[in-house]
Amino acid sequence: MEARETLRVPGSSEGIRLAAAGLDSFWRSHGLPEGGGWPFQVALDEAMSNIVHHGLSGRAGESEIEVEFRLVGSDVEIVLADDAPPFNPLELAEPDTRQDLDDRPVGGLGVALVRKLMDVVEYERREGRNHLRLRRKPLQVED
Amino acid sequence: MDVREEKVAGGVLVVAPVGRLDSVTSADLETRLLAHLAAGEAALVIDMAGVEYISSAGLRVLLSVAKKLRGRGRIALCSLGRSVRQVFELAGFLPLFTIEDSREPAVARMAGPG
Repeated sequence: MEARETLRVPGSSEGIRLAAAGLDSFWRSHGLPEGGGWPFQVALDEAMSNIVHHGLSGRAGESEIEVEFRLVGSDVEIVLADDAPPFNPLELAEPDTRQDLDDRPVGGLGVALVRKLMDVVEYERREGRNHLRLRRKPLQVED
Repeated sequence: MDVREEKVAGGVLVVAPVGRLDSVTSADLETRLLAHLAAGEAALVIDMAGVEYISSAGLRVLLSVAKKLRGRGRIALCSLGRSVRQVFELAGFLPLFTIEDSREPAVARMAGPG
């Protein structure tokens, strides 16, 4: 099965909200397993908020982010593209998840979660734009 | 986001966010929780039953509130759904919190003096 939907959202909190709503709608319209979309929603939230708060910082709201949802065989893929300065979220430092509460820095967890939730996480700088590709199979939810 | 709140026996405040705890909605929860801390609440139960999923923004709010309560209060979480529990596990957050399967034992553990 092949399908794709593309939307352009503002590089702001409103854009993050619209991207999440777009994923809900893509999920429903293609009959993907109910309850199996949350890893994509979490990864999308992490990726979008990194772009808005780090990549576009200072010019959030002026820029748009292109959000594409694709069905590729039995996988779902999300591709985010923006025209912010080169920004590779995969280079953000990962936290040590074994530290205890007092030592744990508040933050830095998002990228680690994306890596753990997705099978494919790829960054590419191409034609003056940042491209982030996230991919995995929909979660199969038993019961 | 919608947040249901209830003060129960033993001086415990139960806070139950409903919907997604993501980078857009987590600020609402943080505002409310910080207001409760400022008002002197010192025994909190966060009931996660209505939380569809949580991203790192939501985790940060819970961690930051737990840190603020250190030495002057207590916090427990309860009723984590499958997706929430899995994100806690992947993030290494399960050992950081008192977590109960349902509300009653969580309230019981937070209630009382001290």
